[in-house]
Amino acid sequence: MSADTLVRDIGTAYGERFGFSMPDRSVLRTEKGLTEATVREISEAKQEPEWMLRFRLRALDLFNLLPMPSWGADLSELRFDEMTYYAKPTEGSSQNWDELPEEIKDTYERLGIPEAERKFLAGVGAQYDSEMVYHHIREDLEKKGVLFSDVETAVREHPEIVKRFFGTIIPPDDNKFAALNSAVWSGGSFVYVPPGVHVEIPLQAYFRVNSQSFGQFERTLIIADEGSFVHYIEGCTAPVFSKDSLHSAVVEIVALANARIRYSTVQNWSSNMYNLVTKRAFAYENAVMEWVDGNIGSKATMKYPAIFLMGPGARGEVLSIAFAGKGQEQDTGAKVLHFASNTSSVVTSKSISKDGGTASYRGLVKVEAGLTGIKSKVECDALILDPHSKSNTYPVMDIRSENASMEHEARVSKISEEQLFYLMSRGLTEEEAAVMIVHGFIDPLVKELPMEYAVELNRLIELEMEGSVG
Amino acid sequence: MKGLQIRGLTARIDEKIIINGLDLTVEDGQIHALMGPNGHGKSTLANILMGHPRYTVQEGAITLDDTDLMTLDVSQRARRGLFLAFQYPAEIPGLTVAKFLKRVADLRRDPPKNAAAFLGELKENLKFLEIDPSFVNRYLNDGFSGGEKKRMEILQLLTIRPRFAIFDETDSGLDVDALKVVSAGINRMRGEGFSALLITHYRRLLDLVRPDRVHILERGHIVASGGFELVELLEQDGYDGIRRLVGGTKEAVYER
Amino acid sequence: MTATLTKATPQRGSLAEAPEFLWTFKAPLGSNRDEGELTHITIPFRGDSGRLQGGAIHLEDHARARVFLQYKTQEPSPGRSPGAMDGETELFRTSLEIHLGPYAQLELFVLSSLPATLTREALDHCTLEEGSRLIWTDVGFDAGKGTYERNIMFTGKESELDFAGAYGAVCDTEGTYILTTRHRGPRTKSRVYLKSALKDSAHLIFKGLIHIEESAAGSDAYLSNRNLVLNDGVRAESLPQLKIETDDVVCSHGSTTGGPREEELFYLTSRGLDTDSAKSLLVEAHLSAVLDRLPEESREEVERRAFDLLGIHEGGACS
Repeated sequence: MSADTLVRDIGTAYGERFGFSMPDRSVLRTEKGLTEATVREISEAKQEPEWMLRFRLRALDLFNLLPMPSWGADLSELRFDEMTYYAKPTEGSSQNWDELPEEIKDTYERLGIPEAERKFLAGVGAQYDSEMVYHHIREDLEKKGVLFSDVETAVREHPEIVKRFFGTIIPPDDNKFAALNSAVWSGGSFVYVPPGVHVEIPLQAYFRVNSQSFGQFERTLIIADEGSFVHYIEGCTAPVFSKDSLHSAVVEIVALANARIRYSTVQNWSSNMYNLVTKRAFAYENAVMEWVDGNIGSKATMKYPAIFLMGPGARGEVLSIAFAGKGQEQDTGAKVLHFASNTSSVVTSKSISKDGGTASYRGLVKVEAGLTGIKSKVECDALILDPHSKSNTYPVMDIRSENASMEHEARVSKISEEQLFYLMSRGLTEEEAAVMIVHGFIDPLVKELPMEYAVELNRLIELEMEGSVG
Repeated sequence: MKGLQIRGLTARIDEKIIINGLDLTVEDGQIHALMGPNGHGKSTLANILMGHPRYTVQEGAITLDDTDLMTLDVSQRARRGLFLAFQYPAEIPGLTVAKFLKRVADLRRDPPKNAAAFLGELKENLKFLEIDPSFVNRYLNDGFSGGEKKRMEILQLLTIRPRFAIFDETDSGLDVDALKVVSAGINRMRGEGFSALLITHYRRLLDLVRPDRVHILERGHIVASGGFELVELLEQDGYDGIRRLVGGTKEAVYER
Repeated sequence: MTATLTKATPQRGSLAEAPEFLWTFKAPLGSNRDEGELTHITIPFRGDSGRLQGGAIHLEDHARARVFLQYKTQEPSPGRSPGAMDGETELFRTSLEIHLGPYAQLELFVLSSLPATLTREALDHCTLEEGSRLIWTDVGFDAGKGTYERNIMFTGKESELDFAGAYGAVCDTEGTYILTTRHRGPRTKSRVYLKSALKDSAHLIFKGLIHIEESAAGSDAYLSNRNLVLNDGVRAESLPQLKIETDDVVCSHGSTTGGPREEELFYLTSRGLDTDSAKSLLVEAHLSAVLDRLPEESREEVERRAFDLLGIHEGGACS
């Protein structure tokens, strides 16, 4: 393929579209760096019960003990002592859109949230510098008994549910960044769907980081009780900074018997952000868990949505797409562990590397011994768009049962000459043809997202592929 | 001159010369047939006309309505009105037929005024070609049978409305019904402002889309040109019959 | 030209530890042995537990050769050195260095079926220069613990590798097979097929890395790993990896692990075979694709031993 594909730094176009910073109106900010005092300050500001403070402190100890991962993206420039770990922007939470501070409304208006809220959403929990400043739950959801709030509120108002699951799917000692999050977590969504309830409209939350050298540590907990269904969407944008920022989130999900949960993400952090996330779901008997994971932004992302198939008949699916442009490292994948018989899993991963970017797939499929009726299929496709970009695939399959069938396939190539020739023979320029092929390449994932996300994702890809010249 | 003109074309792939001193002219409004034994350059010629990067033209000129095509790349040739119905169309998973057709319709000199107009034309073409409407939501050529792929090429023909179309063995592998539909599609384009080259081995297509002239390509150049009687001769005596007629020399051209 | 078991001056190969090169097979410039002539080389374990034994195969420009390598215990003793006590295993370490000059072609067969009293460590390095071709058929049925690391480096353009491995593991065999193909020259090609069958409580790990460097434009690499699991309690691990540093390539890999397929078992049993015989037949079919590549004279014997080992028998044969 010719090197004529136009190349634009994400920074330029990004800056134009989203790259703006609001004046800092933070009311409470902790000192730089992470100490026990910081953690106590955070817990006190949230007026947390004793058990949560103890949880945080224990996690802090673990954070100091656990080593950095010896594999994955390059994290050598992360400076833990130079970051601020908490900033609370306004007092209290708003129920109504109109009551939000003007500049925060403005930020969200520019990012197109109001229209979305009107048409598609049941409730919006929007995050501004760590706190959920706005959430709105529709009457019918409330009537059905669906709980959707920030996690702090859930800790105070529904401690029985929270205590039952919080930190059990991803314990603080799981890895260094899970420990970090467990110590300084702030914000994030709490969702509980009662048995048999189907939430038809996707629940969403937006995140926003608006401070120099700021870490985002939201923690989400979603529980779908027996036979229920919910679709949760996570999407984020952030302004451009000059210092490095860290986003280290934890997402814990439980799908009880016969429940179904879909969790979709389109991540588009600015190019200085380190995005290190631990996401894991437990799927019980006949439950279905679906991760739809889109990674477009950030300087480095390490994220491997995981599904533990805990009960017979459980099913897991991961749809992952990564776009690694100039200066980016997308280290993503999926982990599926089969602990029960008659469980199945499907992982589809698509990645695109361009302008020297590196996209890596890291996956694990493990089948314990003594299980029967296991089916697993993993498919990884990678497109490399120029000679300087890179693509890696590191899958691990560990099978200990006879009655299991495991299939894995991976392909890496550039855009096929024949496809380019075919489209160009219909009058499209080489660049137009390449964009069309790339859109086609990611379509299976885009199809699974709600429309405004699909549109945003397609536009983001176009932005990456073409110049910002209209 | 309105139409396609090829003069003294010599072209190779890597070190191998495939087209060797080829001359061919198709005037505006005409449909010519190109036949010849396998491996002698018919498909190669089609790909070279379209500008496939793997082939190198050593000598010769190709013009469409007096525009020199040699200086234009593939997409530019297409936008000048050249169209190739592929023998083995590429598959583009993830790209729906509808989205694709809308894109190429918009590149026409007279694009559809709006989405409604486009959908109207599309519906009509689908009906004409007896293609199930659900087709438009499928991914372009992905998982299509041979026959479905060929019909898709004709659907593109009717959507794009090119000046000059080359059909690379479009009839191969088609059943009687599919062949009728494909022929109807080609005949629909017939007339002033359109000319075509049908590359084929068999008579069937040519009975339905009657060519104004027939050429035989062998060893990289045209060894015989004439009327429909060449097709009949070919059917009866095979390529040997043609060779006997032509005397096996490079210069001999059979005229009637 | 015969393979000579000479005590060559220890050469520093591409290994950190210099092996003692006990033998070298050399095919000079342009040499082409008579069609079908096969050179047999036996590499015995002579009781020197832990000592690294080296061997080398060098083919000069345009040379062609066929070599059959077999790892064996030394006759007549079953691999025990006089000092070894019962229950102790001994370490059999080997390294093989293969160098193919421009346009050379080597057809290599490697067979190993050692008892559980030997622990294996093999480290092989191959360098393929421009236009050279290595066709390697690897058959491994070692009963003990073993790590087999093979690195193939395509230094010259248009060099090619065609590697097929058949591996059987029973009882408590533990085998780790690491195969790395490193494409450095442009338009190089590799095809790797790894097939295995596991029984009892065996454990096999297959790590296959295809590494395409930036200079290897136009390269085409494929790796497949198919593991046939014959009962619960085995462990089959597959780690096919791709590390691609340039765009103009075609690389893919596939891995499947599972038990005998239901439809196939059903078909065979519907023709009158009992389940165990059907399974045994499927094991044969699974490994045949690789074993069929062996030279006529050794094929039958190897197949017989392999299927005997992997066949489903009454009572089991693990001590």
